[in-house]
Amino acid sequence: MLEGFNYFVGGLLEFLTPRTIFDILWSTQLGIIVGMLPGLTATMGVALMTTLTFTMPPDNAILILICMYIGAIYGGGRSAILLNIPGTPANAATAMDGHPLAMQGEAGRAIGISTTGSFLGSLIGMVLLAFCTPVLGNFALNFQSFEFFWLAIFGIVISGNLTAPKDPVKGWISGFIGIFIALIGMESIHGFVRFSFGSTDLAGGINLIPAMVGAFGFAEILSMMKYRNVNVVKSRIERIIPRARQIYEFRKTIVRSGLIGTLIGAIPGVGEDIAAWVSYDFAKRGSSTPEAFGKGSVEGLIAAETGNNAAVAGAVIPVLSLGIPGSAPAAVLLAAMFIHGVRPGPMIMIESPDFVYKVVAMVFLATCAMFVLGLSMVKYVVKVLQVPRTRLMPIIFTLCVVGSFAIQSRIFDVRVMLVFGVLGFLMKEMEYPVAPMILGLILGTILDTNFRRALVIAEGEILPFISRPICIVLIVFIIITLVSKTAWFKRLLGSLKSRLKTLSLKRGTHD
Amino acid sequence: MVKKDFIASIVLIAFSISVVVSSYTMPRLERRGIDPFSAPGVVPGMIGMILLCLSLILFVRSIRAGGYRLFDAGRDSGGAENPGAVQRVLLTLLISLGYAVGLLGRIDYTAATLLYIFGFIVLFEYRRGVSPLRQKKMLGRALLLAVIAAIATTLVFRKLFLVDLP
Repeated sequence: MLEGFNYFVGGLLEFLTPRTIFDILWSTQLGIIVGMLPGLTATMGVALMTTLTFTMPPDNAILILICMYIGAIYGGGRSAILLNIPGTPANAATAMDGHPLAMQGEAGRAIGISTTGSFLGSLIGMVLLAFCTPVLGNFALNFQSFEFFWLAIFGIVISGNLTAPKDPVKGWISGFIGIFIALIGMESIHGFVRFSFGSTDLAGGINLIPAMVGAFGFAEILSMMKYRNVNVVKSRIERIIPRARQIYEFRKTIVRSGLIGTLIGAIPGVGEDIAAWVSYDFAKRGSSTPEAFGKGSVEGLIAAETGNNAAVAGAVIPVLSLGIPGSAPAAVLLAAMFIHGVRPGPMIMIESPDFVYKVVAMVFLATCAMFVLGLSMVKYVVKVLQVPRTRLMPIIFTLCVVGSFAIQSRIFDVRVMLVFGVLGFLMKEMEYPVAPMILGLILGTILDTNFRRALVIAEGEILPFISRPICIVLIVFIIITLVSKTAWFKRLLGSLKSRLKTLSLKRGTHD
Repeated sequence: MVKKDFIASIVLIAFSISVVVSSYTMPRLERRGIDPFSAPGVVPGMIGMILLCLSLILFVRSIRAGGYRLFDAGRDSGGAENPGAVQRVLLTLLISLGYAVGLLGRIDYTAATLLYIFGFIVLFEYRRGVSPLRQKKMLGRALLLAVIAAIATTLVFRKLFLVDLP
């Protein structure tokens, strides 16, 4: 424990140089602007930054990416409050109460509250990141090919379930399509080229960054251009810094949302948007004034913003300990770590434990920068929202092109971005979530290699897949996730609940 | 949505069958003495089967909801609340494809970007029926923004971040 703290302080001191502080400030501010602008998501921001920073030293580059990530998830709340348009999907729950507050002439207060909520959420997430990563990493050391296979399946199933609550089948289809896409190109065991149709470019496989820039950047541009220009609300922004008493009043909501946000963030491929909604829902259920939710409730706003920013640190936990991302921007972060020669996964606590705590220090510095920048220059920064989308979107598209081209200098990657952009747009139109597909793209290789390796070890026997203790736990989780949305399971739960009630009533009368 | 689901399920069924077939016909590399369980087609075949099952569920559900009545009016009446959406999306797609596939790599990056940004703004902000002379301000603004954005992105990427440009 003490060793971890020493690594954390060491990392912190290492980053406290004028140059690094300057990097933290500009990248967080840029993140806030990226998050604010509808059409530019956190994923897109982190992907673009990966391209721009890949010539930098690894620690600095990853620090900039984390600043961009935290800044963007927070910044999205600004447009949710002022325009009723979430800057990133993570801020959809913020708009529920943030915008009504702005309409009541309290835009400044709403921004202040959302900033404080994000700050506290991020800090709770950071503490859990520091404690849970080593525990999960050490536990994952017991994983063999059998467990990794089930973990990949579990990732797809849970991500599909939670990102497509209306119809999980669409979420699962999206995830398995992602896995299929990951299988394109040369496989890692025998070097055989699959599904390349003679193309040397396809033989190299589909790169994650261009695919994500397309699915989250170009697809978003197409979605934004579907609508005519929105009217910009010119809200007056007065007092921004919130009163301490008001924050203290909601301490329970903050802690609960922080914990829920981190936990949801840590589930593979689920992300900040679901974390914000679940935190919001729990806050509403636990509130003494649930009727105020949706009409400008400070508690609702604080829950959503605490939840989504806590999920950022939460999403980094499986990145470091398992090599599996908790959210779409975390997937880019994972790819960026690989680009910079860092190999996250179960071995990280043995190979480079200092890196884990360096990441904790990075999250801390980015959180502080977000808090300071979030409470200052608000009046000037929100002016960016007044730029019409017809002028902003072509510039964003040029960034998409550069972002997908620059890492390998291949026009093929630009084409991949275009294809994924159109695919992402169509999926969105047909209510298929994109996040499971991206998770599938990462998990595909893990699943492929580990499944075949496990089959060879077990000499084709199925028994080891279903008899190892961790495998059994994962299989149970998968089955519960698969059946949780079915009508008969809900009926079963309902009858169990009523039986338990009658049992406790009977006991009460006996006593 | 049921009609869209019906069409999507058919496309997905066709796709997953083709994945299963091509995985089955994939070489098993027996001549290299490779364990048949590690053959390259094992996982794609399994994924194809899973996709096929999921698409069949979608197909059955969409049929039960009446999604096969493709030419019935009244269902899936998307677009009515947002007129011109399809045209705007297609226009964005076409001009962006023109830039990324047609212009980049053929002419200088800065010139291509300038043309694209200027063209995009004019295409969406030009008001039909109003003489171009009366829209001088918009055209001037579009040109200025295009010049600044094209030069700035080139300089920032190439000089500051040392990034290759197409």
